[in-house]
Amino acid sequence: MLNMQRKDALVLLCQDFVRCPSVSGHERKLASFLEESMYSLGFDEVKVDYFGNVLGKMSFGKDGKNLLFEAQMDHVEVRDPSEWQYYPYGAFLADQRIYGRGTTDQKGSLAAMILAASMLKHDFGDSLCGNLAVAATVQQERFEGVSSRLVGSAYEPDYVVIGEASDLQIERGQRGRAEIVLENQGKMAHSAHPDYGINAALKMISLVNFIRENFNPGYDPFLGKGILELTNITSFPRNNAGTIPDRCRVVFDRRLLLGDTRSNVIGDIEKLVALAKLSIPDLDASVHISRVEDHCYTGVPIKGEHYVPAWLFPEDHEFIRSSLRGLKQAGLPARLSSKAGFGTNGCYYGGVAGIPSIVFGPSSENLAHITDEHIKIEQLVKGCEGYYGIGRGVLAS
Amino acid sequence: MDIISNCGRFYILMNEKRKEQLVDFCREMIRRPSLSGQEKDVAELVAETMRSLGYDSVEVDNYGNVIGKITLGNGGKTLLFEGHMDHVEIGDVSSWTVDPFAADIFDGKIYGRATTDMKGNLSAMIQAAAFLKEDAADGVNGELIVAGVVHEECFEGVASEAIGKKYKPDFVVIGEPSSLTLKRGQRGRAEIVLETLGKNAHSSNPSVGLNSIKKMMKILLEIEDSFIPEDHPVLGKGILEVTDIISSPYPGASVVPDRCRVTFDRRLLVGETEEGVLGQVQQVIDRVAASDLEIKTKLYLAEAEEVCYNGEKIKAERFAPGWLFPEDDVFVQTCLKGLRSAGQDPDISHYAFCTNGSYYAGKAGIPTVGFGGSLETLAHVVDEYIEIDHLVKACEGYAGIAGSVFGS
Repeated sequence: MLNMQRKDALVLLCQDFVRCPSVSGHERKLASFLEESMYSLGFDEVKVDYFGNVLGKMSFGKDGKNLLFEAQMDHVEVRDPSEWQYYPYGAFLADQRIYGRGTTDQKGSLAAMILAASMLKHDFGDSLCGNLAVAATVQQERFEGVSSRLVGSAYEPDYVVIGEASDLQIERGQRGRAEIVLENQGKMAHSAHPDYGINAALKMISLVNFIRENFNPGYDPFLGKGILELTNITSFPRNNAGTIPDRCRVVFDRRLLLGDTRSNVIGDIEKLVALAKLSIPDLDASVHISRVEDHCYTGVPIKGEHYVPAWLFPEDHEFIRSSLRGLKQAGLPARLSSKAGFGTNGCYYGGVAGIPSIVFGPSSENLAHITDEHIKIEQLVKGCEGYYGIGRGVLAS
Repeated sequence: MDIISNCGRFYILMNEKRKEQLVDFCREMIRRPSLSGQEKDVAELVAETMRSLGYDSVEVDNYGNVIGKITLGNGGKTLLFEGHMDHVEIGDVSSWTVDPFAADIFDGKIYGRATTDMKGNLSAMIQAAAFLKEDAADGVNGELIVAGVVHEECFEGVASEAIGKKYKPDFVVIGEPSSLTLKRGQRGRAEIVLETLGKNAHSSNPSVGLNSIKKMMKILLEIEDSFIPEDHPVLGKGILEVTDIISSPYPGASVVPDRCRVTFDRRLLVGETEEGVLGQVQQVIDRVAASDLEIKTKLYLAEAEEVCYNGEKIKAERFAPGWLFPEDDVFVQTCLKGLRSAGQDPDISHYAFCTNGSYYAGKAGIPTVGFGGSLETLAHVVDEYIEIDHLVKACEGYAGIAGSVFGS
């Protein structure tokens, strides 16, 4: 469906993006390149907000829905470049693939979305209804949905397509996520005399064991388990010798199902801690959700807590139906994924704001964050055709 | 002559001026924070003070230990008074009710980190040697060495080995707090590291990984349930206590951790070996592993390398043996006599923590005792202090011991 000229343009655009490194917090170069590209590809309006998100808008003739395509600009670190077969910011072409950091997660999607929007304007002009915006957001890898919040309030979309890799299937929900921190306070003493103090590490081990034995993860037939997984344990003072630790900290990754709220997520653990206190003497522990704070490349502080709720829309939702119709029209298999999406990219729109959302993107989630990350050109092209189809399907009336 | 010789009793006269001098010096030491590896300021103070007190020689060795020497009478046997200059962290400063480095005095107590462990007693040793020289009586002959040692808190006996080998003392007095009792031994200490090995996975899908923290928890709970430390009739228990735990990657974001590491403080009884100590923990691991095939561990003695304040590296496996001399040991009895001559009537007991005696007595077999003011339980605590009365008695006690050793 994409002719040679458009395919070439798509590959070149994706390559250009990869050649602008954009680790979270350092998206400036990519953002200004995107801004220019959007103008030259015929977007009606391009705005950069104070976090540095780039929002390009395309207005069609008649009144209609506000459709949003969103993909992140930032990517994770390269780590050791010598382990890469191809220079990670070189966007080298080999085996019909583009190699480089961010190709799958999510510069390929971003290029496909922008070109699809430009093609829709060119091919259909004023015969479509409503508006289409493409948002390229910052700091997705480190903050859950914080920069999306700003895009959401500026554009007020009716429907959202998230560009996370989904093997070109439509995903209609994601589990939410909370990072729960459990900290306890003991009492320092010389380790030759542990009885004079309270060993915070040992108390924490007993507490975590109690929680593990008594925590019931919820289950959703579509989203899966509401797991509570230990990801960190650390005693303080660090590099300790000669004293027993007086503080210990554990972090749980908790995946959330529909109906989980911030207060019950914390409350569940607080109840278990209260129960544990009955059998663990001298236990002094507290629970909170972890927070992060940083700066955007614009210099503006960005902060948030690691909490986003789950979301899921029914198979027969109008937006999902028109998206599937659009994919079919574009000559792609109209497939609805049987699984929930991998990450939490849509959790702001779908979970917090309740805006009908789907995840659709080229490439596979297992190619994200890896050494020699790449995207198949065939996937990239079909991704662009998919966005084109979805846009056409949703904005047709 | 201030020294009073009466029926074989030797003691120095602690007049108000000397008490004040001792207290002032102790407080000056407290005001120079000296975490292990950062003892430079206090070492300089010790060296200067020794010189101004008229020590015959003051040397600073490779590790930065300060060694002052006084020859009494015609010389003879070498007695070493040893105290460490470093101290542990203060922990959370907000939980202190006093400034930990101000050395304020309330109710006859000097407050601050290291007052008890052990700048108080080190200051008493340094002053006692000088007072003894000033008061020196006929018939007191010997070489008295006072050493301020670096890196004791993490490396018991390592910096001491350098002093032992160079100055070859015949007898050693360790100045760790003893409530003014005479200590004839201590448990030793080993630092054991246990790692559990798992498999990384994204924490949204933990079932494809292997969580190393959970495996560690199993082992720790089994140790809590089933490890019964050996009990020595004098020294007490060979306890095994967790002092540190950390998972890796650290900090990990959304990753099932593939490694978890715990450090144990294991107190050693007399005669315990490295193999025996590790074997005991391995048995517990084997029991857990018998019902959990996923358990994979590494068990070893911690080896540490640190840098001294002068840039020199100090390195050792963390295994400091225990030691114990019989009550009727000649040196123990000589010290007892000396303390009695200073007007004290100490009990004989043992330390419940590890000291540099692990090298002198445990490794080198040199007759060694411990003696010092303040309570052992005031070491490493918030609002650490030493009673001035204890400080003064410690000073008198050290002079009494030296008098007894050199007078006999």
